[in-house]
Amino acid sequence: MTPSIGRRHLVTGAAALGGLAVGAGAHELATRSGAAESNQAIDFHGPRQAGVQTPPQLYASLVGLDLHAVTRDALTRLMRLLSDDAARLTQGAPALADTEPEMALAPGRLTVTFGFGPRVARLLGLDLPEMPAFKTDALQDRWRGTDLLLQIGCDDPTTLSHAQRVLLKDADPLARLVWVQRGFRDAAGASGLSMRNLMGQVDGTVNPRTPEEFDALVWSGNTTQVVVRRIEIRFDTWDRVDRRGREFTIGRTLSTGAPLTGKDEFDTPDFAATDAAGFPVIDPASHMRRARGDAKGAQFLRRGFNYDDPGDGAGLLFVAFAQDLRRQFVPSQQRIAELDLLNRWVSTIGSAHYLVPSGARPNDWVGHDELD
Amino acid sequence: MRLRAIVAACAATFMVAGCGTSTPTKTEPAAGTTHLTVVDPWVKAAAKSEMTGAFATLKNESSKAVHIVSASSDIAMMTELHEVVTGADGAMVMQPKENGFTVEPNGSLVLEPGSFHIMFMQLHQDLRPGDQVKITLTFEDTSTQEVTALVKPFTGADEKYNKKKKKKKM
Repeated sequence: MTPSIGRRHLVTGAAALGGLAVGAGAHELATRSGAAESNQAIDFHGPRQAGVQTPPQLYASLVGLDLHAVTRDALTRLMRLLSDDAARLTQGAPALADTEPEMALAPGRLTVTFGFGPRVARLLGLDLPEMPAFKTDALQDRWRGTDLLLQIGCDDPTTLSHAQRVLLKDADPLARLVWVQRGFRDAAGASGLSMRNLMGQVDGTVNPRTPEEFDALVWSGNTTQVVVRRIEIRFDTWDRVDRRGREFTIGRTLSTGAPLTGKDEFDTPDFAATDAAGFPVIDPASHMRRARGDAKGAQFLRRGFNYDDPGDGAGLLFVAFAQDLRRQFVPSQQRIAELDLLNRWVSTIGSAHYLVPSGARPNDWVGHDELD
Repeated sequence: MRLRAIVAACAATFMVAGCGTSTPTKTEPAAGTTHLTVVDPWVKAAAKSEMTGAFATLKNESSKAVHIVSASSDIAMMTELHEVVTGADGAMVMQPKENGFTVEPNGSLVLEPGSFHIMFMQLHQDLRPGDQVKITLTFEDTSTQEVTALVKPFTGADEKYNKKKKKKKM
C-alpha cells in the first residue's frame, strides 16, 4: 500500500463518517468568528427605537426627507407605512408588497431609526432646540436640515440597499428625498479600539457604554435627540502634516489612540502634564482638549460613519445622540469653533438635527405616542 | 408578519369564544365570525372614482373548506372577487371569479397583483398611501369577517384597470 492511497482512504473515510461532526464544527466556527452573529435580527418594536444603543453596523445610509405637507395626517400615514416596512425588513421578512422579497431575507442587524426635524417637532409641540450657527461652519444647502431622518444601518450592504429602496418607494407619495448620506465603519471590535476616522484617529473614546450611562446621557425617557453633520476632510493639506504633527493636533497617539500623556485609549488625559521645556504635553488647542466636556453630564454618544464618495469628497458623517443637544453637543461644538488645531483640515459642510421619537409597540408605528 | 398572524389568531380565538356565548342561530348568522386568518392585507393606493385591488394571504386552519362568496367595503360602489386569466388575444385580463374564492382545509389562498384579488370599482374617496381600509368578507353561510388593510403605493402589476390615468401624488 502506497502512502498516497492510504492518505486518500483516510481522508475520504473521515469526510464520509464525520459529515455531521464537520457540519457542527463549521457552525461553531462561524459563530465564533462572528459570521453568524452578523446576520442577527435586531428587535424593531420596543419602548425605544433601535439604532441608538445598538452597536453601530458596518454600513449606514442617512436619508433626509421633506414632507410634501407638514400635517398630522401626512405624518401619520407616512409613519404607518414606513414603520410597517421597517418592522418586517429588520426581522428578515419582506415588506408588504415587496417587489424583491428575496432581498429581505438576511437582516444583517438592520435597524431603521426615525427622526423628526424642527418643522415636525413644532407641529407636534415637541421640544427640539434650535441649532446655533458655528463660525467655522461652511454649510451647503444640499446637506441642510430636513423634516425627517431615516438612519438605516446594516452589516450587509445589499440588504441595506433593498431596505432603503423599499422605504423610499413608500415615502415617495408623501415626502421628497432631499439627500442620502452613506457611510461605513471598520468591522466592530476589529482592533478593540473605537472606530477610526479617515484621518486614522480613534473616534468616540468617551462614549457612554453601559446602560446606566445611556440612561444618564442619551435617553430622555424613551426619546433622544440627534445631530448629523457632514465634516469634510482636506486631505491635500493634511497629507503634508507629519505623524508627530498629526498627534499633536489631536492630542493622542495615533497607533494606540492613547492620550499623549497615557498608554491606553481609555486612559484619562493629564492636561496639566508638561514636557522638559515646560510646554503642555497635550496642547490646549488640540482637538481632544477642545472637544472634551469635563462637566458632569456633558458627554454624548458619537455614532458616526466615514464617507468617501468618488468625486464628492471624503470625511466623517458625525452622528451624535444626546439627551439635550443644547446642553451636551452645542458647548463642545462652540469650543471647537472657537479654537481647535484640527479646524485647518476639516470643515462642516452639512448640519441637520432631529428629535428621535419613542419606539413602536407591536402592531403600532413609530411616532404614535408623539402624535397622540 | 409573524406578529400579525399571531394577533389575528388571538382575535380569532376571542371572537369564536364570544360567538359561543351569544349562541348564534342559523337564521341570524353572527357578524365577525372568523373563518380565516388573514395575513398581510393591503390595498393599492388609487384616486376617487378609480378602481383598485386588495391583496392578502388567506389561511384556513380548519379541516373544512372555507368559501368566500363576496366582499364589500364602504370605500367603493362595487366590490368583486376577481381572478386574472389569459384572454383570447393572449393578454392577461381580470374577470369576476365565479362562485367566489375557496380556501382548502389547512390550506391558504394568496391574493396578489396579477392573480386573485378583491376588486373595488368606483371608489367613493381617494385611497391614500398609509390610509387604512375596512373590508368585510362574506362566507357561504352568510356569516362575515372584517379585515383592516393598509393602503400602499404600488406601481407594479399595472393591470388594465389602472392604465389610463397617470400616477398622481396624494
